[in-house]
Amino acid sequence: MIEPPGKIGIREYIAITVLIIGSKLADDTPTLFYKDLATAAWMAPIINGLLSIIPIYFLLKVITLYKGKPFIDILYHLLGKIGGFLILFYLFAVLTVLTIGNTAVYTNIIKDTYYIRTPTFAILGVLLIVCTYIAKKGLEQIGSISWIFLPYVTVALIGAVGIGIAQGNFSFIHPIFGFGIKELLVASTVKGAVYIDFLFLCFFASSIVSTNDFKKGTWISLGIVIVEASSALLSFLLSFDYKTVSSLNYPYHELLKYIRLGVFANVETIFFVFWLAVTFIRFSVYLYLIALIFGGLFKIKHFEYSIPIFATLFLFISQNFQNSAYILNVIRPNILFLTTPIFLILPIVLTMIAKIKGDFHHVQKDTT
Amino acid sequence: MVRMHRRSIKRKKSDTQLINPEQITSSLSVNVSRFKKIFSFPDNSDVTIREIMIGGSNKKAALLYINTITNIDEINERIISPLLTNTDPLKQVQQIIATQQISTETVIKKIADAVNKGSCVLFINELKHALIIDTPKFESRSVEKTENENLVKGPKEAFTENASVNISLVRKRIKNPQLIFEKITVSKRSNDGIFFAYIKDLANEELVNHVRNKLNSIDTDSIQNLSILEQYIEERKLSLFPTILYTERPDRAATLLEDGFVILLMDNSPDALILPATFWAFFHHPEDHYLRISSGNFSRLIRIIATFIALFSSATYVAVTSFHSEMVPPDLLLAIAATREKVPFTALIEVILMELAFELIREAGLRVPTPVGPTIGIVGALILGEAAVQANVVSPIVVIVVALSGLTSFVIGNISMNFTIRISKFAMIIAASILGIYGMTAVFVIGITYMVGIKSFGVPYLAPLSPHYKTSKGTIFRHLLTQELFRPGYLKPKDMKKRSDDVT
Repeated sequence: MIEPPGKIGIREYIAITVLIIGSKLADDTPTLFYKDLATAAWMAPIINGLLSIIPIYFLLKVITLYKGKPFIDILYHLLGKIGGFLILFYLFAVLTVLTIGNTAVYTNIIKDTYYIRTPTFAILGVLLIVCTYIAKKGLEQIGSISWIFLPYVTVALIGAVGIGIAQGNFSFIHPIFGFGIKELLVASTVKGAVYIDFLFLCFFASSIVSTNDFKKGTWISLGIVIVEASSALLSFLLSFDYKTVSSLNYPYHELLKYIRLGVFANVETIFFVFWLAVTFIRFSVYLYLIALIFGGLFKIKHFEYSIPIFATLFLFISQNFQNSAYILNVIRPNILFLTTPIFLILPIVLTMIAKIKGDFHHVQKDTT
Repeated sequence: MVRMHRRSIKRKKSDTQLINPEQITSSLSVNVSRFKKIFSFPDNSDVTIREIMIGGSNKKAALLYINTITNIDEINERIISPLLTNTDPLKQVQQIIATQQISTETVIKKIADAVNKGSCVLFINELKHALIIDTPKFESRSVEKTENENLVKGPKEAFTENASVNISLVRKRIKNPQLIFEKITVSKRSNDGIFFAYIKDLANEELVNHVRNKLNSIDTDSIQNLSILEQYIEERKLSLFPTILYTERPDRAATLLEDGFVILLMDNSPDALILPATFWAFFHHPEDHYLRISSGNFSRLIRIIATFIALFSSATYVAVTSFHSEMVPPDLLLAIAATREKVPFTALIEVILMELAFELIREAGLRVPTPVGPTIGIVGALILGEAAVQANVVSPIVVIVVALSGLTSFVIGNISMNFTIRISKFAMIIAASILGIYGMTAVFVIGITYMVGIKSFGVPYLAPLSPHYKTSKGTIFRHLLTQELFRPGYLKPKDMKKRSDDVT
């Protein structure tokens, strides 16, 4: 009767991936694209999505090579004790900074758009309490609630984006290549780290029922995310034109304010509910990941117990970053700058070391 | 002195250990006096001891039974009169008595138990064992219509307080030799027996063993009925969510048995417990399948909508009026503001007041003696509705909102789930008053996360939605009966398909 604990199926994995990466288009991430790419911003997710096929391919190759082995162990195995520790620590630090920055941004969104008079501490506190509760329940529960919320969230998103495109002005799409094809390619590549979550999700690989499901799930979710992000960026562009949209901090929430359903002119609160659900899920995944990597770094078996500690820490740190201009213009680009190289290079390095160590050869021998 | 002491110890022993695995003797008078002591005869008014002389063999004998729980006519006609009128000295007693079941027993405790269960015991002089003759007749209702799980189309029989009647109601529906009714005695003093039913070639063995172990591990003196038993065997005793389904409909019990579930029946319980139960089981109703697919699904849709209204309407009112007033169209907003102008309370206090009033009416309506019943309606409608508004204690819109949430909460028929929704509603209202929609979403997400983690006898509470299992896909909306091919996969039944193998 009782299932093996902690394993999730392909549905749950896709749901987690789509929700945590897809939610980026509803925060300040789109703004980064419009600034450098103007009217061509909607092509950027496609271009860097196609580009990230390379690192993802190599990542999947390494993970399928060591079937069932946790990603942390793979890193230690390939990079040695010190190298593995350093890379893990780097990922841990990046993820921590990302989470702190993002919780600050999300609190800011909630505060600026809906709760102007509520203290930051209360909003952030509730956010982190809910996320801690979810994260502490473990990956299985996170996966299940992601899958439960996925259809409703998708309907809400398609509704909002669809209305945006339908109500938008199609002539805003010109010039199609923005500042030019060269700029488009360069700027898209630099922003490749939007998909860095695929690297972090590798830590879940051994918790998915089969490695094949992980592989299939990753490709499917990459496809979904590319379509989702690209159509959202297009929808914002058509609704606001590139000049306006590049000065908006949170275009998704701005778009919601323009939606009306008959006599109800302000229905953004309805969409807000679904966005909030995604937000809770997203940060619980991050909290869980941080604790997981922390556990891998310092050999802590029951790493779940460190989740409340991290949450408390983040509560006190992120409430100091309530200046949205500072986060968006200083922290964000730096995080992107720090994460893009590791996302692009690490998978290739891992594959090469595995090749040099002759592991591909051994495994092939083992299977034959 | 020493002898006296020994004797006193002996007497003490015989006093305190009257009911122990001691054997009866061959002397009729010793046996009778012993049992007179056990049953406190003649203080115990319904215990009957009838001494007779068996015809033919001329042996002395005594019949012991409790006349309120035995079939007196049967005893007179089939036991006493054949024994008295017998003339053949060689005939065995078993051949003279004309009842269905006779067994022999020598252990005093077991004989006493049999008497308590409605059997009649025959002691015969010079015989070292007693004859236990099955003659029980417990008083109970006849099979009546359902009272709580009503329906328009479909069978209307309900379980009664008599377990053998209940078993026959189930057997009537499942004519299958593989249907097993195991009996397990759960309590130490009152010896309550629980009938534990499953279909042997369908139900998962691990599940059956799990339930059996759980029942065997109960340590208590008495369990009156299944409602009490439910609280002994459920896994999360403090949880708001029920994990065992309670039904008074034999047709529902039979349907779920055939899907591989396990059911529990018991004397004194006009219902059956079905386990394991998932969240969806509390929303399904047998009528969904008795009605045609469109009507059945329409009624499910109404039930889903009702659940959401019951849970969220009051909270949404509090949230919208306190935090998100921009959502309401201006005309309506002005109307609400105008009615609220004279009310001195905040939206939260207003809603909580009315919700409490509604709960009071409901509780009072349930407990009120029938002749006074109609008063409740008048008090409820006039005083709490009309007068409260006129006195400016609450605004009219709050009456509408609360009445809506109260009315819709009746749509969830299962009493356990009904309470869950009603209690969660208050949590929602408080969350809404603190942080508006944000607070409500937080509570809702926490609630769903909590539900995902619950397991009922090893089955995840929200299965088959997540984690996914192969089933007939009738979780939220039902499908055509011809498309419902599989038994629920989360039960791991021994036979997944609901029809012969050549159909796919």
